[in-house]
Amino acid sequence: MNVDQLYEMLKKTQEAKGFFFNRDRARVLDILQDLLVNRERYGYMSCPCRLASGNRDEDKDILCPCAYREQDVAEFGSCYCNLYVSQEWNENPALHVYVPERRPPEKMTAF
Amino acid sequence: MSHQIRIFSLSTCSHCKATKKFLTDNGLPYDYNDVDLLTGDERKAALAEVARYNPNRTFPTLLIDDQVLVGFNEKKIRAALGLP
Repeated sequence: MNVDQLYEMLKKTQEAKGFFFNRDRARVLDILQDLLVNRERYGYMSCPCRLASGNRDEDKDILCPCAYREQDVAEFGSCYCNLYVSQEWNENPALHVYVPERRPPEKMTAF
Repeated sequence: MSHQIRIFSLSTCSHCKATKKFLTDNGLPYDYNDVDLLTGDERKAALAEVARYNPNRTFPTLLIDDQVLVGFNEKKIRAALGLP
């Protein structure tokens, strides 16, 4: 699957759940490309903005879409990577704030 | 005035790429470590160093002289560099 196919597939399934792609298509394609890099590297689409441990079970909370997406989009209008956003976030750049890491540090087991 | 700039980053992280691009676009030289590309002891050492500056070990962790900035926050980076 190439990145454009991934874009179309995810856009359909995720928008239906109320999670929209960042309007910056080039940025989204770049992030999706990095997800494919991680799938190639680790065997699963680990969040490209977080250091994977390489152990799928330990990284299950950061498999994209991550376990923190819902809360982050609700609170900040965007997930940690700015991949999935709310419609308001897309329409109002003033809402674009840094999304802090919600994942508890102890879960980060990559050494 | 020149600054000592260093980034702990991930090769796959869009915020890390945005940080590097911002510095390059502003003609500011920097060193970086893409920690996800390191292995073994080199990786352990890099992670231990990140933890010293940023206990959460998130990326990018940006060192500008003696200041530590976490994440790509253009306003804060400009302030730390004395840029308008």
